[in-house]
Amino acid sequence: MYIIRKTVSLFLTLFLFSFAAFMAFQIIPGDSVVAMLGTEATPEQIAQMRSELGYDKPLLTRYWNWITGFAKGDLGISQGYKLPVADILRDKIPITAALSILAFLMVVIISFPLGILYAKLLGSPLNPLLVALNQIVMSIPPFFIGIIFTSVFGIGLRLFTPGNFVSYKDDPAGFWLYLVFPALAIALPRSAQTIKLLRSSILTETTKDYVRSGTSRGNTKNRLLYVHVLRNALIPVITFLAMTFSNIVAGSLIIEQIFVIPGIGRLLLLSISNRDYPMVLTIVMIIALVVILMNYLADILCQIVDPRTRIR
Amino acid sequence: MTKKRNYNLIFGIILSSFVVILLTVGVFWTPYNPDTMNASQRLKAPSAEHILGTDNFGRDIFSRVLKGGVSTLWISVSTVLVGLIFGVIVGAFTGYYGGILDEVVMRLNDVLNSFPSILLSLVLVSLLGPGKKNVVIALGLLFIPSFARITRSEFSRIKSLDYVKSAKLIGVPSLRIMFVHILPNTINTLLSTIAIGFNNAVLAEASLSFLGIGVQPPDPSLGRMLAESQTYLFSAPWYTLSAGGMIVLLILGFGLLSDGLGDIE
Repeated sequence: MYIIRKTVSLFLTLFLFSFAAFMAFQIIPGDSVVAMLGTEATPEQIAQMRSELGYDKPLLTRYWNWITGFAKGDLGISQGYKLPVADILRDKIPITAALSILAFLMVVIISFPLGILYAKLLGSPLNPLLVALNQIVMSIPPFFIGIIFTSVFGIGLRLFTPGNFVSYKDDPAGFWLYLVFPALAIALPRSAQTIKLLRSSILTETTKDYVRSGTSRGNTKNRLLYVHVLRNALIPVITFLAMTFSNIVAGSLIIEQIFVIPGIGRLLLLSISNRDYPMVLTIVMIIALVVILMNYLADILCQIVDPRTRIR
Repeated sequence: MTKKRNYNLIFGIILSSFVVILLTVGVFWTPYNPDTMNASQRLKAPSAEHILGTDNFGRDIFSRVLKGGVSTLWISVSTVLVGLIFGVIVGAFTGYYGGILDEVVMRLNDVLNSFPSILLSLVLVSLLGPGKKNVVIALGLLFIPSFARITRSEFSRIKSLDYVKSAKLIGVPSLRIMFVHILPNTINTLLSTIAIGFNNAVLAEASLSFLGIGVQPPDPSLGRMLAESQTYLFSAPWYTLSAGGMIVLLILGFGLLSDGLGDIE
């Protein structure tokens, strides 16, 4: 029942967003057909182009054509490249996906053990220092970390060559190696946020009655923590991680710029400056799809971990 | 519960007021004219004369950081104000009246809220065109949902309290109940949201300007300074560190303030 309700809501959300996004790109000032043909174009040429692209049809019909095309993988023609959008994206998506997934894995790998460790260290003299450090790391924007990484690890220590992106086809190992620092730049502030949330979530859980009863029955601290507390403490963290993933995807758009990675982010910025709106709309829609799906998965996952959420 | 000192609030207040006072001074006075170029003073390391050094045109970095910080702060204040005013109105009406409209608006809010604000602002700014005013409009629009959500939940909680019920009974007009009687009671929760809003606004503005689609020259911006300083990171690391450091200080201060305000209850 819960899953059905969430699935219905998923499609409703997708519909609402796609409709809003499509409409937003229709009301923009400036005719994109004129932008494509140049100002020299005759009215006949413009009219012909408009009907070729289907711009003379009613808005709702165009929305329908666009969204069904999108579902089938027919993403329209880029105005800047004069090529099918799908063909251009085919090479770009895996790169951004690899970067985002790597960064996400780093967040999980860094924050879970540290979050638990920080929670355990409550009351130790190290605690305030760690909390302060965590708060500071949290406040450094990824692009600032990125700049420092390119110069320190790239130009200084020569661990990678900034701007010299290694394609996966040429050298798979080099490809992943090149992505390590950009991914880390995205992951660090996010990890700090996750650590903070996990720590406070664990600390809130440990004040609850079931932990006291558990202790009085002679359970060890570790057993209580790993078997009982963590399961409950992870619920808000899962929801947060879903949001983190979409933020990582957005963050990779900026990081790609600094590390000169030819992914969706650079394409998006280029398309924005070229006013290539079909391309921008498609990229936004793809990212929206990822974001909305991640939130849907997080809801389902939370429900599996914590059946209580079914009632809510 | 043991009584604990609210360190987040204390440090948050100290840090944010330090930065805000520094920037307020920067509105009226900077050690040098931030735009005066001086070819003989290019890329000088920090010294007594230029406490944060000089940039590639020989301009005093401290003065430029102050001016950039003022601009960033000003944009953030405007952005938060836009988001706050519209968010509170939307949240107040949907929370107080509920019903179908409430459902639709909150669904839309959910979508916008789950969406990375940087991406949406990028798209909005691309539609509106770059520049100070459009950055404020785009970011302000994007901040409406978060304020609307908080206001709504507070309103729907408070509207069933006895004092609101009795106000209704004696015939106080709905608008008066909403904005004179309920709104002041939401201030505590709103303050924390405002602080986190500042935090996000600073980050978003810096990111947009960093990408070159936010604030345009000659308006100064910390994000753009950071982008420009990238080239000189090796010959003049103080350039990057000053611009980035200012952004970190702003975000850190407002972040702590928001946490501290959230801990008050």
